[in-house]
Amino acid sequence: MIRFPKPDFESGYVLPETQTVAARAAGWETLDVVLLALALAVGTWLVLKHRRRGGIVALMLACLAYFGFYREGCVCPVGSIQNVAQALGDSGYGVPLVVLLFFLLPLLTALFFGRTFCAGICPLGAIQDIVIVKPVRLPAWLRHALGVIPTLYLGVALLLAYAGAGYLVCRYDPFVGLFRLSATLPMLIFGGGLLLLGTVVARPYCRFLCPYGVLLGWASACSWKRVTVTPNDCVQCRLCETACPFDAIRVPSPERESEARWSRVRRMGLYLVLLPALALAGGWTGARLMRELAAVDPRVELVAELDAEALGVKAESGSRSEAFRASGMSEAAARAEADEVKLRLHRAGLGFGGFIGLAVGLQLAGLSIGRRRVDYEPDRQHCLACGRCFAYCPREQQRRKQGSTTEDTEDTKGTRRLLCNMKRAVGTREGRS
Amino acid sequence: MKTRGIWIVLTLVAVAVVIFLSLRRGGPRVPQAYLYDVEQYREAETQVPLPYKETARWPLALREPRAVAVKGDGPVVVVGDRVALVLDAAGEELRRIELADEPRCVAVADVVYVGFLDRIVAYGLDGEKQAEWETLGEQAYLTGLAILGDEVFATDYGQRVVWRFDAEGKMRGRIRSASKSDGFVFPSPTFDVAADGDGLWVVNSGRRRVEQYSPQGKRGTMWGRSSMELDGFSGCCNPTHIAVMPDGRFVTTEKGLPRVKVYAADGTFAALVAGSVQLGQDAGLLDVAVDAAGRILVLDAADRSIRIYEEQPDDG
Amino acid sequence: MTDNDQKQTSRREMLRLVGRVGVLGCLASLAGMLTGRLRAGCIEAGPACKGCPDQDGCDLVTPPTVWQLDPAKCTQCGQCATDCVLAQSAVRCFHTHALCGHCKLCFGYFEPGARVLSSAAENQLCPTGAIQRRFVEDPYYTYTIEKDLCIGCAKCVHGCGMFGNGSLYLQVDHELCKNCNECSIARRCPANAFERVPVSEAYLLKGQGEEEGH
Ligand code: SF4
Ligand code: SF4
Ligand code: SF4
Ligand code: SF4
Repeated sequence: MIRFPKPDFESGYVLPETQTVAARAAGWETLDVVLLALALAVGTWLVLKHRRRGGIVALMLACLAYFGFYREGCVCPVGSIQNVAQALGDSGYGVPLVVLLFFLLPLLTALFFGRTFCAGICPLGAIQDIVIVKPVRLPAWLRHALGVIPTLYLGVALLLAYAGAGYLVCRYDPFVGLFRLSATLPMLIFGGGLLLLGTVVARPYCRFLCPYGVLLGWASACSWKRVTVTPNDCVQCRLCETACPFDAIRVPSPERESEARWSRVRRMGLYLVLLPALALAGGWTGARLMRELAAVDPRVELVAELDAEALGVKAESGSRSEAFRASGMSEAAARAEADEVKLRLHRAGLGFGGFIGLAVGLQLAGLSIGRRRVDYEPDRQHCLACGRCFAYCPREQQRRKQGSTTEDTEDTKGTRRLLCNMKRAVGTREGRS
Repeated sequence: MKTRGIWIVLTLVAVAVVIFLSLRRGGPRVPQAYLYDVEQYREAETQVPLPYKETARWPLALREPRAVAVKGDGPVVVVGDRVALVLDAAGEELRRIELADEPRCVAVADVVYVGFLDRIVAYGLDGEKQAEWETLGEQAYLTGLAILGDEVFATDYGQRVVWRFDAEGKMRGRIRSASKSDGFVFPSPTFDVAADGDGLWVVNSGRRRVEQYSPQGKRGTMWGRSSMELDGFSGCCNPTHIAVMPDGRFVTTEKGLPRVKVYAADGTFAALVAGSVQLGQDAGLLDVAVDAAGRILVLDAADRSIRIYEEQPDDG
Repeated sequence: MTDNDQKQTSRREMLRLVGRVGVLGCLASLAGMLTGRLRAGCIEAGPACKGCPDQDGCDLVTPPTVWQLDPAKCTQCGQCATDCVLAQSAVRCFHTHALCGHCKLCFGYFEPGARVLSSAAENQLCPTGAIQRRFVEDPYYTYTIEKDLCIGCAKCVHGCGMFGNGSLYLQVDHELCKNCNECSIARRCPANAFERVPVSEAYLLKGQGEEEGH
């Protein structure tokens, strides 16, 4: 039915159509995924086989140009974690396949080959990587303390997305504004500040904020292949000790153990006893925190506005309460919805906080286990696979001179060792039974 | 060297926290220049006396009430959804007539005439369907009905004419604009008609005026002025509805700035009955009817009710 | 390497293998859950499938989405102009001419109190002068939006919706929109008017569906 009949034009005037410009076609999104997969493959090859920083830098710049400045950020794997979380919490939201793949591909790569994605593909990482000038070494305690932030950030972001309260990580993405050459002042300060800091503290966002990096770190911690400083054997020359701008190279543990075994065991026992208390404390804090953070949810915001109005604070124009009244929804329903959100976040915060408490306790307990490291090697979890350390290793220099074909490469060696070890492990178990 | 790094980190964390807190609430302010502002005209409504008071409000059990009509001092008829409700003078439901389609407008004398999109159906006050008149074609879009003597007049927004029928539903003729440059203009479906002893009063809302016609279609006097001020009609298409009071004065309703106003028989502004304070800023179209006692019945579709306004003796 | 070292390494390799299988399992079940759920969602026609062209034959895939706003929900708060991540908002004014009354006195074009119906700047509502007014024939005029000037402030939309037919309305213009993962206006919009729509139906324009106004 025509609601508004055309005026009785006599001049033959034809109504113009509403002009629209097409959205970036769906085909392009497929291309993005293909390019991502390709870049991951190339990056992995560069890091594990080719072992040249130059190649990695080239890949990094190309990806920064495409995924960063051309595609202007969205959707990126870092943000995709929230889409996944939202889809889990809200049956009305389906993750587009493209987004799901953006989420999965880097993680799968990390699970098998380490954090190639961070090395050369992530535009956020790349833009920080190119501003590194004179990286300082951070004391271990500071690294560990700051290193907790990403996990917390990850948890909070996932919970908010799960409850449908919005995408925290996208909101506070410090660099996407640079890619778009358009950002609000606070974000500009934030992004610019991080880059400035990044000249001396290498990749601050990656190491002390990025929530996706946490997931990549976990995956990478149990990866199949790994980044190694040396292409074959470590000769303990200590040349690479300071090569990593991210302090990810671990040095061999001292020959003799500094602490008596018994005291370590006692300490560990203490931590284990403390575990439940830590979990409880974590849960309580988490629940409190999420209750507070619920205020960012639009539904909670609306109720807060209604309450304020009831107290006589007049809402400014364009407020949620105004739109709410126009929508004709009942106040009871709005309140119920807000309460639901709060309750959900409260519960989720309880669980998540408890989990964090547990994790911290276990980590502390884990510190008491003596680990012996004999070679200089990158920390599996924290190595960003940037390839800077390769050139420091004399063995690597040797390899490069000889050409890459002759030596016993790390992967063949690693596989051999793995097979051998597994056999042995099985063997000992059989021997015991 | 080391400590410097630490300090930088700590400062930056502090900055990050500050930014986070500052961003948490309130985005950028919307400049005043971007906001559509008619506050001064709403304000003006509060500066004039309101001689009419809302003396009753009858809630309606209708999702989408569309039109109201009253027969002298007799029953009130409201149509909406797919029913016509016959109410007594106190608002009590007497009868409920099921309709086959969505009603658009209504008039009542001894017979209830319900206007649908393209045709009129006559019902007895007892609810019996008496006659279904012929369709007025695909273009038809009826918006108003009036009874003058034993004739029925219907305004057709779709074809920009006023149809004239006898009581049996036979078409007697049509009233259309004499010239296009001074004729009917209806940007939106706001085309109403009322009748009194002087003939028909047709709302030419696109020109924001009320025009008098004889039943034969001859145009007589006109009144109404285009203005945002209280005495004029604002917007692209106002007034939306009209009713004639027993003493010959007019009641008009407007959309945009929702207003119910009374004009003297010569078309000069007499009084504001209700404005956006009383009706709410989001009131939709307000149909209006006046009974023999001079009570103004305003159909508030947004509120799903009929508001009754009565003139109060000046107590000041 | 001592025997003890070897034992330790092998134990860790085992742990790692277990971890790897665990993470792989998690990811696989996550993917399965999401894609599997999508399939069910499509059968039940969840909001995510709205307007999806192959709703019947659909399996697995949720199409890529873009942002649009529902003009019926918008309350013209003005934040579309200020809250987009872009300096010039990607939300702009659209005009469905078929709904337009072609008024001489357009309330989307003139300041509410305009005395003279001329296109003099002080009479114009639009803060950037983005609306073009052209004479068609007596008494009709047509109004078109100069897209490059429009900042999406919704002032004209408010005027047109309040007094007129509501043929002017805001919409996300894909010419500019970066399709942020979370639209920054969507988060602030008091009317919750923003939604994701499948890219195949990239525009929610007025006058396309059966809509009822007054
Ligand atoms: S840590 Fe995060 S931001 Fe840094 S490179 Fe990796 S995914 Fe990108
Ligand atoms: S933010 Fe929402 S309510 Fe405000 S103008 Fe935009 S769509 Fe309309
Ligand atoms: S008034 Fe605002 S929304 Fe309308 S055309 Fe001008 S800039 Fe665009
Ligand atoms: S998705 Fe981003 S670019 Fe598009 S309208 Fe929203 S904020 Fe602006």
